Amino acid sequence: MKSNWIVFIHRDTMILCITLSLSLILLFSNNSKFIDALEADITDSYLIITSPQRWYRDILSTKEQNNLLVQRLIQLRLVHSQNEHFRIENENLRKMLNFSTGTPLSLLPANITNRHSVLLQSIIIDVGADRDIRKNQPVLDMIGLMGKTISVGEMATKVQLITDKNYRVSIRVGEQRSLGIFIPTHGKFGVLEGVRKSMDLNVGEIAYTSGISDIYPANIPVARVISVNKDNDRPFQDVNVEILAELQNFNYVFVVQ
Amino acid sequence: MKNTTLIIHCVILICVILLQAYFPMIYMGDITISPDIALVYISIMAILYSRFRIILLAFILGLLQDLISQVSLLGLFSFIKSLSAFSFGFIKLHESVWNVNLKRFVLILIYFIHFFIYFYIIINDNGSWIIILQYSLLQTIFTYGIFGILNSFIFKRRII
Repeated sequence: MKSNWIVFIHRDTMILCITLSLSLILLFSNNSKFIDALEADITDSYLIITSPQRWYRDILSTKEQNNLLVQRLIQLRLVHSQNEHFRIENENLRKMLNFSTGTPLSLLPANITNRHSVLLQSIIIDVGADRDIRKNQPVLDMIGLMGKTISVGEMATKVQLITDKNYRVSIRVGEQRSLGIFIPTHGKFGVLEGVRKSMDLNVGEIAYTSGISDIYPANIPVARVISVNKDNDRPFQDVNVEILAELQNFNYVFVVQ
Repeated sequence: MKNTTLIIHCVILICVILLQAYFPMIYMGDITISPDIALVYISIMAILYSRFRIILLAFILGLLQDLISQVSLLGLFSFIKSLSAFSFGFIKLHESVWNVNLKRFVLILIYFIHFFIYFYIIINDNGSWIIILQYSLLQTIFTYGIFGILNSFIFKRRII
């Protein structure tokens, strides 16, 4: 009886060791091509599984969103008329200074198939290689940077969220446009590393992408400064920030192409 | 395992995957909680059936969860789910030795350790033990809540 029990325990321990070893191999080989292909296939399958959810969500939210959009449209028309005046003035000034003109971003809208929670470090969107999506394209919502594409299936794409532990983005912040690195900490919060102590930074200032990286164009809003601490023994100040992108109740995002 | 039993288990497994995808979120201020249905399923199965198969099942479910939800930490869920399934098995092994309260305590402790390891790894702010504990506790409470509802109303307290 006792020997049977020992065999039973050993068999369980053996399978546990095998599964734990496999998990560790996966943890340390995230960049393998096989894993990439598997991720792309699972992403496509997940899109099919959650299609009824997207359908009823679309039906339920259409009227409410329509009302909100009408209000927003009126507000934006007023802002637009103001901005049009500034644009003409700005164009004239740029011509006087011989500035080159930047091309506007091309945005592809996409629906989200899963919802963000503390257990999720990624989202799946319903556009894929069929819509010319590639790896490492920035993803935005209406307010700010949300992440980047990480695994592209035929019909769906996995997006690494800005809240992911290993997400980093080069930013500029403050009046002096000082460089720094945005690092997420938990929930919708993060820190800016490498911001010089000599730079005056105020609560409420917005950090924008610097444009230095190959992935992110410049001037995409990333996070808002919520606290600044210069009282430390490092050459840089501690800057705590709040992510601007809406991480709750979002339905669609835009992929920068 | 008979063919009909196998089919029933496959159907339940598909339901668990669908339920995990469709389960509503719980918003608590800045925190969004989503009870881990897969963990509840693994705990029920590990208490009712042989631990050997359930560890494998936990690994596969964890891997699926990883492929959908993780980017840089692929393998994390499969690691902690396999470990949890092994630990749940102790409740079955000590079925006649432990009383109900002790079994409940062990179950909650395993849920808590599962979430604590997860949040300890994914949260960058190493100094924020309170935040890690807050997330882990909330996830444990909601996940145990689902287990409690299933145990009371569907299994008529046959699990614990």
